[in-house]
Amino acid sequence: MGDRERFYDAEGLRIRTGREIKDVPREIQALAAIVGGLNLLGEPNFRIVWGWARLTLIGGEWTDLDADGNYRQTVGQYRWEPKNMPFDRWHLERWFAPETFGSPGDWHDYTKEVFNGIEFAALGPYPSRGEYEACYCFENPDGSYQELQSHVVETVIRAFQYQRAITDLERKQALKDREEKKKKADDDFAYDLVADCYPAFDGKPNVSVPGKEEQP
Amino acid sequence: MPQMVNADTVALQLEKVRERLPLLYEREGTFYSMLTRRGDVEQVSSRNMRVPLQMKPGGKAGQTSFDGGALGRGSGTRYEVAQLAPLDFKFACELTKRIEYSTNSREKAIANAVTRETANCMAQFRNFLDRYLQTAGDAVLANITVEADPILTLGTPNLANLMYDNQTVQVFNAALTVNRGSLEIQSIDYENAQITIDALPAGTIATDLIVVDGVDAPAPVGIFGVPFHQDDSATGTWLNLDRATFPEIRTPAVDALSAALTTGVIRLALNKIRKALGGEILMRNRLYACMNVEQEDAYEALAITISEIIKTSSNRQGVDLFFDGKKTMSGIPIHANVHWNPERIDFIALAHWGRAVSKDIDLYEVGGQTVYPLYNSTDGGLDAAMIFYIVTSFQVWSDSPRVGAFIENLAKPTGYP
Repeated sequence: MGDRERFYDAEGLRIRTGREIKDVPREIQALAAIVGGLNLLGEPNFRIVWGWARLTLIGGEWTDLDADGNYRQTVGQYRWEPKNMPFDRWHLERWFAPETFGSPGDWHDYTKEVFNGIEFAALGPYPSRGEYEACYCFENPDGSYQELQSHVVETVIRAFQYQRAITDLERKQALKDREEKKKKADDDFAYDLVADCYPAFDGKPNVSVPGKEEQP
Repeated sequence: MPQMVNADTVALQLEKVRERLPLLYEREGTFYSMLTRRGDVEQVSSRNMRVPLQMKPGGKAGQTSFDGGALGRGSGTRYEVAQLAPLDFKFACELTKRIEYSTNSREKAIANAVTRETANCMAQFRNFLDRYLQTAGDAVLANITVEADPILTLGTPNLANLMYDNQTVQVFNAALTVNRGSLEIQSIDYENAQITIDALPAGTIATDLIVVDGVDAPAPVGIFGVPFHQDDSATGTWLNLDRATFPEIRTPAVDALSAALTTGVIRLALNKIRKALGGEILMRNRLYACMNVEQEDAYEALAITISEIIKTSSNRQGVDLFFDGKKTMSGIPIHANVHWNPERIDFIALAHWGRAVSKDIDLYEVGGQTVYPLYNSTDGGLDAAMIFYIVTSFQVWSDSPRVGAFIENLAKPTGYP
């Protein structure tokens, strides 16, 4: 079926295409490889993919619904499905070495799914050449679609590289500091809210008149 | 009639706070406020709220023979009704008249203690509700692993995370059938998961449970929190529906088997939602990846996320790409919460969650009065002290536990209790 999900009528004629496919501009893909470098296999550490076009094998029990959301069937199958959400966005993917996913035995154990006595690998076969995982979705601040731009791609990849210099200890401390800041902001917010309800200067006149100021 | 003094207007001043109370509770940061802002709110009476669910499809499909074959009988869609009733919550705050007299002007104190205490109570009540939302409908806050009066050591996963200093709680046996009595927490050592208490209720043993003050044994009913609605078990009930009978109300889950977080388990959890409800479900329903900082740290250690900082003219311009801003997990916004189960990540579709409210958060009022004098128990005269209450009545519901997922039994990174 390729990278498009097509719907056919009884005569086999294609009647609509269900997924929007975009190709990554070659120069941006090349830029990602230059900025992010290559892995041990000579492949780029970072690459750009389109959500609908990046498919992954998912196995196990599927419940199918019709267009109205009504139940149709439950089957045990392997299916190629879009991997990264949202599907209609550009994604930056980062390569992870095979050992990141544990041993093949571990992979088998925790991805095993049994349906009607048939065993499925819920995430497909063990990624023996490593795997690209989505690490960034290109979106506007309001969550809307953002077109690929080379300077954004470069900035984001450099941000990941910057992050590698941060130690575990620094990361833990930063998270702790953030939570303390959040708590203090909460407390201050509550106090300000209540204090706003009381008269200013404890209800005393607060227009300054020369020579009439209250003496300590 | 003597001249009116500030003391006479205290009740009036607190009245002014009332309209601002809901504002405080809508403040972003806690799961409670997320529910308030993004979830549905239904105003209900004290009777059960009913949530109709289309549970099972109808119709009998099959092959037949039109050459005189039988067509058979049909069936219809099966609907069920989930039910819940609001629970009542209170937060009592008490202070003496001396405190007010001593701090009610800038010459005497840098902060008005009444103002400060009102604010503290509001913040603490919000904090209590946020912690309470991490319980599974049985009001259990912690489990006792070691009893050494006056110190109790608490077990995983929540340790002492759901309690606060000075809180009054109850001790129930493990089966939640016997109430051994109440105790007050004198201090909490969060690092070592220990609480120091005022007095140990008679009969308390290791394996007993610490539950919220005010609930009754047997079978206490508390807030239907995250672990209640996000549950993959095949036993027990959910909003009066039997999980054994209706697999449709079980939440997809992945057991990490005490291993550290990997991208694999995240994909497994999200794929389970897709497999159960179709791929489009994740496009239509915005999920939130809710977790404690332990799992946020673990995720960051995978080096698969950075923060997005939206720079505006008012934002600071320093580079801080890692610890602030919008962070996502597989494209799903991360919501970090220090009260969350530290061994668990929940993917929650807030559009399917809501609160059944019979009383919004407010000061407790009788005839327009919200601050009450205290009476001496011996002679019936007034004590130089006052009390006020913040109250609310609600319960939390979800109309589709299957639109969500969770990863449980995750290992915590080193350095966390």
